[in-house]
Amino acid sequence: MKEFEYLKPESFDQLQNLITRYENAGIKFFAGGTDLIVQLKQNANFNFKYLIDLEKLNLNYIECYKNYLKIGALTTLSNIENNTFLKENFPIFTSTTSKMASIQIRNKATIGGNLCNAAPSADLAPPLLVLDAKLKILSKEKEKVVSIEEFFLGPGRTILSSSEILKEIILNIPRDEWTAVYIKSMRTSEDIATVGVAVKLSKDKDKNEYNDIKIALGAVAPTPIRIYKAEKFFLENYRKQDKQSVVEEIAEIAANESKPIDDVRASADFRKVIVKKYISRSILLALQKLSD
Amino acid sequence: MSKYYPIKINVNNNIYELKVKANETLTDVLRNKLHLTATKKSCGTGDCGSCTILIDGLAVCSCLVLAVTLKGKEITTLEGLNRNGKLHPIQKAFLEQGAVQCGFCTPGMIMSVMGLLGKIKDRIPTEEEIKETIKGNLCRCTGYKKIIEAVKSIF
Repeated sequence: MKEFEYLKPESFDQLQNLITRYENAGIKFFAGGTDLIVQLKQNANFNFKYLIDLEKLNLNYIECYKNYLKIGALTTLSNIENNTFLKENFPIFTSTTSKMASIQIRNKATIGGNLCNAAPSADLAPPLLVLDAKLKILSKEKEKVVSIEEFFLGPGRTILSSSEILKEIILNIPRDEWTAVYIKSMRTSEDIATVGVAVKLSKDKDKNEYNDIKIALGAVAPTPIRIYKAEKFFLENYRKQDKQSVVEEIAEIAANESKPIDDVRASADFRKVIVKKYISRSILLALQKLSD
Repeated sequence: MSKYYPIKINVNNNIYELKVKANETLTDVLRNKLHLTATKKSCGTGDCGSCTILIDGLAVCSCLVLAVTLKGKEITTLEGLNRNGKLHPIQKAFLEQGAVQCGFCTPGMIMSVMGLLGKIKDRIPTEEEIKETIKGNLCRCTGYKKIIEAVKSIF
């Protein structure tokens, strides 16, 4: 592993000082290390001299408010998986994190790291996309909030500059009746997703109609993506056609919108087949959950 | 010139004062500096689990931990399980149940189980929980069945 120097700021002021002082020499931020250390061992082409450990900035929290929820960027996947509030109100988090790596990895890996590492297959990305997550970014003492839809730019690339950190993930607590599912194409959780599909479905209880659907795919494009075309199709057609044919057409749209590549895990063609199957499966599952 | 960082780490309730480079992993420090070689080094990428140890009671792959980050943390390795030369019940169970063949995965496997025991305290784990616990520990010899039976046998 290449050599570097190690810094561990204990406050945001200290962090800013270190960034200002060392950004020209090259800095890299450190969360759980479960992606970064693997990459450093493989001598990935990183150009930094100072590793800045974010652990002491108190970003490991899950805070619940009346209408929204805040998750600190350094919250470990285990903490997310085992959190009682999330288990009861956002079970998609438990079901997604339990499909990630292993317990050993989840005890160190963080939600912020998963997003900032920005693998196209990042398992938390499709669920956060369908939950319309907002991301709080700290940039030179200023904070800005962006929608997760703008966050990913390409494989391994996000809108963050090398001097910015992801601080927090903010989620609205939906008011309607809703459910969200994430299906991951894998043999075991230790596999990286060949395809990831997330669906969130909302129902207006009084009118007894579906008023919103969000669909996101992972591992089948340069970034995790929302499939707006499929969402629109569902809302416009679920009343006009029978369930099966609507779902089939949505699956077709989603597969066409995806841009998978051939790689060691699967061919692009196979991924498109899986997208279709998993879109059908996840929408039917969501429909079933909301009618129970 | 390499920069060395002085660290005080607590391993099995012993405090060690060491100087490490920022890029030294806990696996290497345990094995090469502290000569605690129960913790094994295999894939080095957090996939096989042979390097599993506990940090503050949580199972973690030591190959992905930078030693320099460990100030104030409590590390437990297999060597820390015995009491005055007496094996921990889980160690005895592994031996009695035939859950050890070549033994290479065993320390990491046992430390993952220790992580589970710390979480559930006296409750009996389900088979699903045991399987989930060892999911991050690969074994090429046993087929896992006797490992699961060994864990069940201590309750």
